[in-house]
Amino acid sequence: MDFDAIVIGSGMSGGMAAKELTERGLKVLVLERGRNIERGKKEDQTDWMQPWDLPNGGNVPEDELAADYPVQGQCYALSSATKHLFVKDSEHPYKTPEGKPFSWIRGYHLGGRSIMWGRQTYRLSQMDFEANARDGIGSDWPIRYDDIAPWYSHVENFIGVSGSREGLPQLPDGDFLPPFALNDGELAFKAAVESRFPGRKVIPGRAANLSEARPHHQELGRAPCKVRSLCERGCMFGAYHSSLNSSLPAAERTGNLTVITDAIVHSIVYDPASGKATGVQVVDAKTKAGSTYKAKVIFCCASTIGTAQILLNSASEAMPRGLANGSDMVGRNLMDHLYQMLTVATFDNLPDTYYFGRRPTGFYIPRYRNLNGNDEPFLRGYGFQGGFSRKGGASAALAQAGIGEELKARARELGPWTLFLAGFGEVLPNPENRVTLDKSETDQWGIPLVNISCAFGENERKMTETVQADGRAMAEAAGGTVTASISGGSPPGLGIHEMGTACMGKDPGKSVLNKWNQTHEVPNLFITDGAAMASSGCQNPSLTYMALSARAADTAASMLSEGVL
Amino acid sequence: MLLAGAGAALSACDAIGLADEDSPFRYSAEDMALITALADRIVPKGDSVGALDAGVPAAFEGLMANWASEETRAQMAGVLAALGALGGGFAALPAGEQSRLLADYDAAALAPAPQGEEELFSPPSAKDADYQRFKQIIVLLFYVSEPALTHELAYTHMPGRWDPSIPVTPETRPEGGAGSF
Repeated sequence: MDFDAIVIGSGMSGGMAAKELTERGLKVLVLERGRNIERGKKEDQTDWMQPWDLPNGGNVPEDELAADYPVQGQCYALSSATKHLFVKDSEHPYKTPEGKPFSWIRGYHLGGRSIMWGRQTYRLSQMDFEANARDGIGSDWPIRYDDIAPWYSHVENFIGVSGSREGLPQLPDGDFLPPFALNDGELAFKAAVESRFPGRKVIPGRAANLSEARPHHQELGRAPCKVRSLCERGCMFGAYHSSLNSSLPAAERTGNLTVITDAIVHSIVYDPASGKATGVQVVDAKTKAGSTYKAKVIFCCASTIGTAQILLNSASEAMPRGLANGSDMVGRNLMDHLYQMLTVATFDNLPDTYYFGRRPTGFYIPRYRNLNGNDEPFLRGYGFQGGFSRKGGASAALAQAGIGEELKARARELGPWTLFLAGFGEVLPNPENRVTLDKSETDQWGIPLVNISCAFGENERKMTETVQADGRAMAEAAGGTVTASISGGSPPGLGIHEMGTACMGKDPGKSVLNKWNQTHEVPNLFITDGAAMASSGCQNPSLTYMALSARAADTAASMLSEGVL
Repeated sequence: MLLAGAGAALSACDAIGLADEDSPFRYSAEDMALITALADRIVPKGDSVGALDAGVPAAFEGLMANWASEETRAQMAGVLAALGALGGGFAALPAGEQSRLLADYDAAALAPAPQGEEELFSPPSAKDADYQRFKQIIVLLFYVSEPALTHELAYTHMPGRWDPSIPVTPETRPEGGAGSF
């Protein structure tokens, strides 16, 4: 069966592309390399588990963790309740050079990492889209903020984003649902930071959780957030956006969607006579049998590294360096965000109040460095995610020596307000940070392994120092005592914001995609996942991937109807 | 009381994961008596619930069978041997004597011993890291259990609303949940 469009990947980008294409009447095939999972199915989503239901108290058996999850185990979200949503590193190997680790966190199942994502949802700004041109670094984005703004609104409205309108040019407002309000610790922190550091703002974290469900959310079976903060296990209420909760059901109801799971895309077929892609070659994950699917348009949304792998593995006589890789930019400019820059502080000067519920977000401090030019020892900037909480329980019981009633009494006590502050910094595009195919080793499906060579540079090192100094300064200005300041030096990848391996650009000689996310060389091939990013900003990027996907799908549908493709 | 306690114990450790009857790893009756005494001293029932109500000894055995590596089992065996020797045979001592001996041991073993950069979410490094880990497992098994989360701490699986500010009263308890061993 031939399709109008094939979407490779069912995650954040693929789900949105499928929704938008099917809603425009296209017959769409979604190919997902992982297994099928279902919303609300007990084995697939474990949000029903009470803490005491968690196998091994939530901990993955030690031998299994070491053997199967040495990389995935670095992710905060991996537990005995979620391990089935992460790949086994032992089954899905990749290579890195000696001394240059890269943590590639993955989930191979329907919906991909949209099931376990952190749901922080922020727009890039005009400043971000101008950054590469201004700094003479990387590929100049072929779009500016105004080009994508309507698509940000479109996606926000569909997925549902809680947040507050702040009027900040570096973090444009969107079409928000009511925010999850700051607690008393955070309000005091906000007052201190905003008065002591003009230009800095402490705002409710913007999250793709339904603080209220509007009619179009309810039509898809989505209900308001129950404030459980169990999101990485899935949500039986569909209260956060994921492909499983929103985009794929929306695509399905059009009657135009076909999904095939366990379908690993080996390569994209290119016809030099027409200059177009004609289909994709697929290996069945279970049987390893090969098959080919054809379509008029192909959307590659296999995730940043997966997309690069497919393009490079689609080399042909006509395109020996890889599909759509005349620029040699496929696989290059791999970026992530600076991550694990943590400040923890306790406070004894805050109101003796508490809160109820486990809000699915915290606060956010939007970027405030280099807003009006470059006046720092580094380029670009960073933001902070954080929150205030009051601990107790086991952590208080174990904080010092003591047994018996003394230990229990300590655990029952509400602890001091504690600040957790985590910086997220922009990483510059660097063509030497790249994904290539290994020449000697293939995976069990006959596809060359990827080699990931990526390291942060001097700009990132300088930025990290300032992030940590700022974190401490803000905590102390608010009256806190810093108990930990950890610049963990986490490897690239662990921010789980990898992007950039098929960048958009104006110059076909220096980029892979044009302003419509269309490859410069193969007009019916679109790439709308993180690979498309020309720069990383410091904002969590999923919203931008989805907006680009929706925008490109609209363009592709128009081009098809006009006979351009 | 005994029946209620046994019922709670079954529900708690069944969820954590009991050691199967034919599991290659099971503790001897003597070891279980020691683990039971230690868990009861560390988290006694008092006027509420304690480790035995939560089924912690059986859950500890299940954890060693289903979660622990050989290295961790050996580490715990060393801790149990040391604790079992206290007072010439810890398990057979009166409860008061057990508490006194264990409190002294606990204070000495958990004396701070900074070892460079600390783990962010772990207790501070202590002189006896093996004992510290044993105690951590016992305590976490208790505080992840239903009896602890419904009697000693607070846990609402489905809060349904976010209230950013509520007054603290004498009845207020910190929110509990799962933790890492």
